[in-house]
Amino acid sequence: MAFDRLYGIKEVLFSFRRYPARFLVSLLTISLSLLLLGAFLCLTFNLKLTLRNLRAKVEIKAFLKDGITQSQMEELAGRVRLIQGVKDAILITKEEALLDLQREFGKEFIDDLGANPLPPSLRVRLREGWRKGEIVQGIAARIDSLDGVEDVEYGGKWLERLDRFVFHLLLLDLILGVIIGLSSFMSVSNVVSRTFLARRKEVEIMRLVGATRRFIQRPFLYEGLFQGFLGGVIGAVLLYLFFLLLSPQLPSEAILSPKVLGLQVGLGLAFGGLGGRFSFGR
Amino acid sequence: MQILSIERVSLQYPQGIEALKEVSFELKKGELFTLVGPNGSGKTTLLKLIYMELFPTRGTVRVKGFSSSKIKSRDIPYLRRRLGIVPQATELLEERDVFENVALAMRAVGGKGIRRRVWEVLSQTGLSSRARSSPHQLSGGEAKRVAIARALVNQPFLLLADEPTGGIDQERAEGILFLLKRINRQGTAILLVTQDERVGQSLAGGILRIAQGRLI
Repeated sequence: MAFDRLYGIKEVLFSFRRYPARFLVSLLTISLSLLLLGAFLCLTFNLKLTLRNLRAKVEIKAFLKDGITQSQMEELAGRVRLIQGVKDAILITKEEALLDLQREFGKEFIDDLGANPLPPSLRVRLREGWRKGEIVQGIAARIDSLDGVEDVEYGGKWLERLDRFVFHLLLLDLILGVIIGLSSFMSVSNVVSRTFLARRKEVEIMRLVGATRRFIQRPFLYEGLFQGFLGGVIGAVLLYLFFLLLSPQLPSEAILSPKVLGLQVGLGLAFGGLGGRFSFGR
Repeated sequence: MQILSIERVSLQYPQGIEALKEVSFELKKGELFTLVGPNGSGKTTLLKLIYMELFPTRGTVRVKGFSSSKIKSRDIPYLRRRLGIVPQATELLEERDVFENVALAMRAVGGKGIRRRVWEVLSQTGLSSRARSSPHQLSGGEAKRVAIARALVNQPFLLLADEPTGGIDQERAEGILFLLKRINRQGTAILLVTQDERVGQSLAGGILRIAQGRLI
């Protein structure tokens, strides 16, 4: 087995030394293909991040009845916090609500109002995964049913629109992901297969002299893995450079996660290995 | 001691073409046989049955401990390691020199003492001076010798040679036949297939004749 592996590695090095042009063309094709895939992954990653940030803004505002005492308010806040999916419930007294309004519209506006017309309220923040339309609606209904609550507001329509938009966007992203992923895989696999076809004669000779299938396959598998890995690394470096180059034009929240770069290299390795294996199978 | 036995072997291709019909013969240790027949008579097919690239639709091929009716595909490489196969098309790897072309057969089976054995077999086949030549620098006769050296390097008990003198001039063909006779004298059984009746006479071993898939 150790001999098989050593032979496999030697054969890969021999192939690169002997056919540098073929090796470079293969590597370039794989790198570009994985660059495209990496760019898509980066886009998807940022899209998900943006959506998560957007969802983080989802909260329920529960307006409380006038005349509710401080201790009743605190008890109510405590009961709200016990509802599943609720991350936090912040109490906003009438006075605090008025100060907020003053900060927004100025003192003159408040003076014109005369008495404080604002009710006390609870600002309810939800846990991640609990910020989707129907779930928020359910939690809002439970809060609404509590004693001391006058009304709840959670931007239901806006949330419905957001849900629909996210669903369509993720569906489109998934379809594009499958197309780009498959084309990347086929491109890498095709490059590795061409290496195999170029060495078909050698395979025939190996079969005639009694080499086992595994022994014959090993150099192709290693070559596929190596080219896929190197292509992934080059693709990741190119993606990083493009990101640096384009970052002044990109939104400030846009990031290039190391996870994306790692995935790019990992997929290169997997595609190369599978390409090597499938080309031999064919 | 019997090393090869072909018992009432027939081979019919899926299209209905019968390539071999009721072929039977045996080969004993150290024997030399020439199978003579015209193009398309089934000579190469018979060799392929022996190294189990093809399998008979009827009958059995037995090569030492391996039987065509029982062998598993994973065991075929182990049968081929004990045979020396010289294919009709010489099939040398252009990007490797003569030494490496021969050594490849040993590397492929994890052979030990490759350097020593390859030089030994190159000397046996008269190729020592060509060890570092590329296949494109060789004459047709030399290329055939490399294919023979490659088949011999793993010390087979049976050498299967498909038209080893095909496509080369008379003088070089005689050199190849002389080499094969010497190999046979050293104990390796040989089954050679050819269209040329004179090859069989020159080798002075047994002669089998085949026509339209039947031994005659």
